[in-house]
Amino acid sequence: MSKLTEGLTYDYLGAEAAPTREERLEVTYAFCGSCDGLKKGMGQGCTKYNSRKFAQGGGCQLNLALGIARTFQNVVIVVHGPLGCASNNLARAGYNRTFRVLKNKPASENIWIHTNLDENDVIGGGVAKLREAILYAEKEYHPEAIVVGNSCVPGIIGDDIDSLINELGEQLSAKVVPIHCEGFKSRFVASGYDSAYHGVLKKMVDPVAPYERSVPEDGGAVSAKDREKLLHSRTVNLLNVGSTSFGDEAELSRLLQAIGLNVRVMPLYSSVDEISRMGEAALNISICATHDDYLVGHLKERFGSEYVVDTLPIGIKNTGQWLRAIARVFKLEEEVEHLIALETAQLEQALEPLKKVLKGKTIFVGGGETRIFTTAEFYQSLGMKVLGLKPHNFDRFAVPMIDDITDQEAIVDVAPGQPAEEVVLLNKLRPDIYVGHVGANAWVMKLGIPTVPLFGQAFNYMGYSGAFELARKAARTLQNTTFSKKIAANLPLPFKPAWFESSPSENIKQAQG
Amino acid sequence: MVTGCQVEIIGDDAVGVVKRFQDSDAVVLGANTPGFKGDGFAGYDVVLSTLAADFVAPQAVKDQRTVNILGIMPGQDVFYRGNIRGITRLLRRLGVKANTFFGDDETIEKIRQYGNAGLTLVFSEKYGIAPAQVFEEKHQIPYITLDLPIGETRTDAFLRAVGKQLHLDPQVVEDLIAEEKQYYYSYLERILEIYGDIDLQRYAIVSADLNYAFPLISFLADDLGWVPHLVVINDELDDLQRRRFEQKFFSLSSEAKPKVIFEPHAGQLLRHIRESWPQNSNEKYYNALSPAFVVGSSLEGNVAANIGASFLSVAFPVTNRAVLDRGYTGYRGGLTLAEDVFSALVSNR
Repeated sequence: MSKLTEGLTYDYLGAEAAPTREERLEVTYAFCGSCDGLKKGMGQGCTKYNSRKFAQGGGCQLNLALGIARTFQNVVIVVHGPLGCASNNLARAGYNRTFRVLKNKPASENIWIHTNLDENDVIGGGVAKLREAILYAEKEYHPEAIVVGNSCVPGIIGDDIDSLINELGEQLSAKVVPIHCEGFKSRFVASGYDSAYHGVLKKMVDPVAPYERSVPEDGGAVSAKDREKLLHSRTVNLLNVGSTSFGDEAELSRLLQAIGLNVRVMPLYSSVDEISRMGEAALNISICATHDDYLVGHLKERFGSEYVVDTLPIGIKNTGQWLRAIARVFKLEEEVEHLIALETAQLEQALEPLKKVLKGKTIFVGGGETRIFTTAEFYQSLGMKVLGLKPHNFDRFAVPMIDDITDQEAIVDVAPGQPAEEVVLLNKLRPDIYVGHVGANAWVMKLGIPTVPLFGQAFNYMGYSGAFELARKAARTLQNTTFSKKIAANLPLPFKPAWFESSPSENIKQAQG
Repeated sequence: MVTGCQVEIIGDDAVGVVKRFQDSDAVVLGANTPGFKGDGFAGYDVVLSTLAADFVAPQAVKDQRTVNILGIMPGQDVFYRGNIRGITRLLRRLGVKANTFFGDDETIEKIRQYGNAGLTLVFSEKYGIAPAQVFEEKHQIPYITLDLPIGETRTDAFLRAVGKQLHLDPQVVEDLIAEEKQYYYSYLERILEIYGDIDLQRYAIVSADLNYAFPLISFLADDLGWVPHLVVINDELDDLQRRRFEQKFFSLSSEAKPKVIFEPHAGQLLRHIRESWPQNSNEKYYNALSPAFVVGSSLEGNVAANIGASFLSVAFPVTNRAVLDRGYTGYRGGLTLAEDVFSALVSNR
């Protein structure tokens, strides 16, 4: 259990689709003010209905939902919609293959097909085409699972994909999994995580009998059965996300193994068989509440498996906090304190020379809420000053993290994407380094601000080794800041001077009443 | 006619024999080029000096809008024709004609007229200077030395230097720079997103000859924003020249300046890299020289692999690439080099 999920329920599997984040949680996607202001605003609930005067496209939950599903081994993705909805697969093909190689998985390509809905289908319905597509996927590729991502068009015209999928699921060897990730349903792309896991939980995770935790009997011989029970009682699922690198997974596994746990990293890049046995673990460990609360909440309600939803293990403080929360479940408090003390001492010593370079430098971090607050906190612990943060959205999962920012007057701009708003803010703040999400960095470079990516498939940022990597990357970036300066001098941003004079906070439309 | 070791050792006056044919219909020239007197660069100097002294016709009237180009050696610069083309193209846009010796459309007859130039541009601090001095003494053509203009920063400097030397209207030069830059950045912009999103900044290590070493590290540091870490120059200079040459590296716009080493012996790069960075004595937290990128000759490919660095061969010899009309000079050459460098980084995706 977790304080972060207090009062939330997860009994939604009877429904075809997961509820959206706006239905399920108190979330905001439009706010610009101080850390302190956001905390108070969240408390009073007045941030919930904010919107923007000028808003840019903020992403589609279909991409996040299928971003999870297409990592599974030996699956075929069927995008049910017009062909544009499948286009994201093109950009991700090389990325996913590289990730499989990096994670020591079979270097298979992504396979996706789409139903190519046209004008006639909008009138006549697309179910026949979907049936054809699923049967084609089965015949052509013999996958272990066929994952259907439902887009806006069938969502609006009312294609009953679930009846079809239930029918075909009985007939085919592949598991057929519906994912209701229609983009128009939610302003919060993070709803896509819930949409994906809703389908996964319904169709891919097999029921398991709850088992008792076990400890070896004193002195006596341990039977094979007891040994198995013991192993199960120490088995944890370390739940990965799309941005965890192999290095992250190896480092976090190392730390958990150090206190005696048996770690299984899943569900991304896992096999269908591994996912089906997800319910067997004694504990589900999330590294990102925004990503996993729906999944772990369900596993708890269905199988009784405990979960830890706490913080994201980036930096010394948050890695320690995360480890302690896990150790508490297994009554390994003493062991974990020993581990944390040892690791922290070693890391602190290694960080000393880097701290000298980074001390006093200013930083701004943009991206997913839990990652940016923990990343900012770590850089702050190196003597850097956090000027601001830009979460895609903001909800209860990151509220406790606000307190970690020393300067409570630091700006928080809650904005999914919205580079036009962000560059105005950054032009005023002028941090020494910007740490940003994929898609944001090129905009910021054009302001002449050097950038460090917030995550990357080749980078280890989590755990103790990750902290070292974050520090040395920032230090290296400062060794040559020429590139962004030249880009700024030669590639102007496409905004008029008056736009830069405007105030990002005035772009936020306050909720009425 | 060029000589080899045997005839020079036994004392044949081969060049003297050649001189007896100077009134014949065919052009016959002779140069002393025994291997024991120097490397291929020295041979370039001797042959070009012979051309300047014995073949190029004296001309009383100089064209101040014509320049001779020296210092870019065929073969030793694998990209020589492309590089010459990039320089010629920019000069033409300034209204300056280039006599290139080895570029496109050169003929013996054209070279005979190269006493008409108003200035010699030597794209080297060492090679091509000897023939430039012959042009100066025999043909009264002054010379200046320049760095090979690879990419934006070096081409800016090249165009301004030429403009100043030829007394061109500064506005014309600046207009050309502005126009070329606009083109350059409109294409460079395409790399921005991936550069920022997956962090394509690298520690730059350059191992090259004297002509390429500085322009390459300048391109990587000034134009691509990489951290210039180490430059190993596979060449020799005397102390005074060396100190003057080293000054160039302080002009790099990066906060970090590279370590510069003159190393005439091949196979020493790995040792210099190791000496340039604290050893990994099995510490848990080791601040590695990574991610790194080596730009060198094909001989350095293994060293790059050895330290886990990415690699591109540019300096002689280049045995792992097919080079036809590729060139790295000018703003456009900078784009080409950027393509090659970044392609090396993403080729495994």
